[in-house]
Amino acid sequence: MELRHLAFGYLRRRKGKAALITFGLAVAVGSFVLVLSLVLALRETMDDRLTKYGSNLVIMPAAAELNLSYGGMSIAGAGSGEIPRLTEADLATLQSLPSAASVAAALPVVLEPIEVEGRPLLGLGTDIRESLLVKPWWKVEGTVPTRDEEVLVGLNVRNELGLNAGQQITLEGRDFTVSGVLWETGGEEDNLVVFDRRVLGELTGNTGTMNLIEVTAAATEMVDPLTEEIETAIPGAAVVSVKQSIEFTARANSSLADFGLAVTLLIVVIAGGVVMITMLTAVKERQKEIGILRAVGYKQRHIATLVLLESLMLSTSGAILGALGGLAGAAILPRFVPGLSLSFVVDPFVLMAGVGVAYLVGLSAALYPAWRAAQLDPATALKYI
Amino acid sequence: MALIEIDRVRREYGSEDALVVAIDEVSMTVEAGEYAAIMGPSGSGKTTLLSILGAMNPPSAGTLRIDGIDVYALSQERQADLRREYIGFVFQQLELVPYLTALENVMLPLAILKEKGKRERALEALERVGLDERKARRLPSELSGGEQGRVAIARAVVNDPPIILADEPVGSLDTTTGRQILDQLRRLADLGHAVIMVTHNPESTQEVDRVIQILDGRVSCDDVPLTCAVPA
Repeated sequence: MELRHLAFGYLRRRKGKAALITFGLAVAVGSFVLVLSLVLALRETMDDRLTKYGSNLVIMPAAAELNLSYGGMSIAGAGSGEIPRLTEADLATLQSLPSAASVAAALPVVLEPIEVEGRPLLGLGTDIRESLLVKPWWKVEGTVPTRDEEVLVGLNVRNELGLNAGQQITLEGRDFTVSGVLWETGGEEDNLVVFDRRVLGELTGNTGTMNLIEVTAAATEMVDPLTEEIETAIPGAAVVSVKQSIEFTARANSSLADFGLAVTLLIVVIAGGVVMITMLTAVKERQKEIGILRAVGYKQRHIATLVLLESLMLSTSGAILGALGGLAGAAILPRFVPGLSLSFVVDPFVLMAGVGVAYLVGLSAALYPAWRAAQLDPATALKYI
Repeated sequence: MALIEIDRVRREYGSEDALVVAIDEVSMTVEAGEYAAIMGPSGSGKTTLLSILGAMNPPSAGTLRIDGIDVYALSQERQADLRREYIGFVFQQLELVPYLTALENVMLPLAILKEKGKRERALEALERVGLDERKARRLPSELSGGEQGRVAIARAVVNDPPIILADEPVGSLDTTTGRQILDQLRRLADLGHAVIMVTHNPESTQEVDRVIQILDGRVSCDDVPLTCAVPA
């Protein structure tokens, strides 16, 4: 028999205390892994959007009820009563700007809630061919629509409705053929049905208007001058620099991440306190047992080692449970937050750091109880004094 | 040279205003193979004397020598080594660890040693007290009172110490079981161990070679059992 058998035997006997300490450590580790995983996923999503979003300016009506999310921005959507929209005249104004030559592309976009086979979806009307040029991540499985009755669908739409290229859908009594499926983008495009802009306008009775215009400046340094010119030329429009928008969101997310980490730190400290108090209580309860061990020749370091071994075992179980719990939380939690589209990131560094937190907290919290246990002299412990 | 020598040992507790003298100028020697009982009423100092003999309770004055070694001149670490090498304890109410099997309880003093054959040594110690391997796998709660007592003795002798200290070893046992334990202690003395038992029960002293009576911290009688008068 070795000291570790003695340690394990005690934990097996005191299952309640062992469970309490394991739970405390698991909560600390789980919080740490969850927050860190979400932070990494957020950063990855932001980086992805920053690098992938083709257009660097978005023109939208200035005073509008914002109830749709597209490209990481909130924009005005239909079905919310009278909403301002941009017009063909606004689109034409872009071509007469002093810096019109700096406009590499101007894509009008119509966004309308639609219903396909009883499922509410988002219809996007745009110039599909030009969109495929501006958005390199739009990859089509199938063929690009060439006729008005052809549409593209996002991957989630395909999966939910069981649609594939060549199949038919009916919208407002009109039949459309799915010519292709967009590859997974990890964003809102996965939930879209993409039409020719004019066709979607006809279907919903909103011809000649659009929700926004995606503008690609030829050079990044032209973004600010173009923004100023557009805001002057189209008074009822708000111009959002996409990178600014995403960077703003990234900063907000960063603040949220800092807050999350601060809360995690607090949880870790509290967990450490719970571990220490529980172990101190255990040392007090085991006074006589410690006295017996000292009487049969155990030295102070043996007693301290025993307590630390128990902590090590509990830290291991806390680390495993906490890491698994944190990962599960990171995978499941974003699904309950509307509009939050995050990739599930399993980072080995985060897991290792989480395990490190378990051992750091568990062993640190056990140091004082181990010292107290080692200080018990046998005569006092056995109540010979 | 006697195996155990106590020379004018005194043990005080408390402050100057409320000083309690638990042991007052006690001197005695115990030889190897001697079976002695320390007797006295509650509060007489017998348990304190036992703890001093057990290298667990440094006296306020006087010395304890075991095998010529001045015990309380050693560091705490060396005292622990000395306890492991020289002294086996049978505690009051036996104090077996409830979550360890009988075998594991006997192996308890060996757990800190980096040696091979610990299991075999423990089994041999159990065999010497009449417990087989089948009983060795049971928890204390699954053994009778007498069997638990024998496990406690096996634990005390597993390191083959020359001295056995027993604190009221039969206090909580029935007469028959208690007799078995006392017989075991007698056998250990016959094998050459110095056995010192603390008891308040005169009937437990039938097999001892010597009774040391303690009263108010002092030795009031130190002789064969029949000679020392035994107050209740």
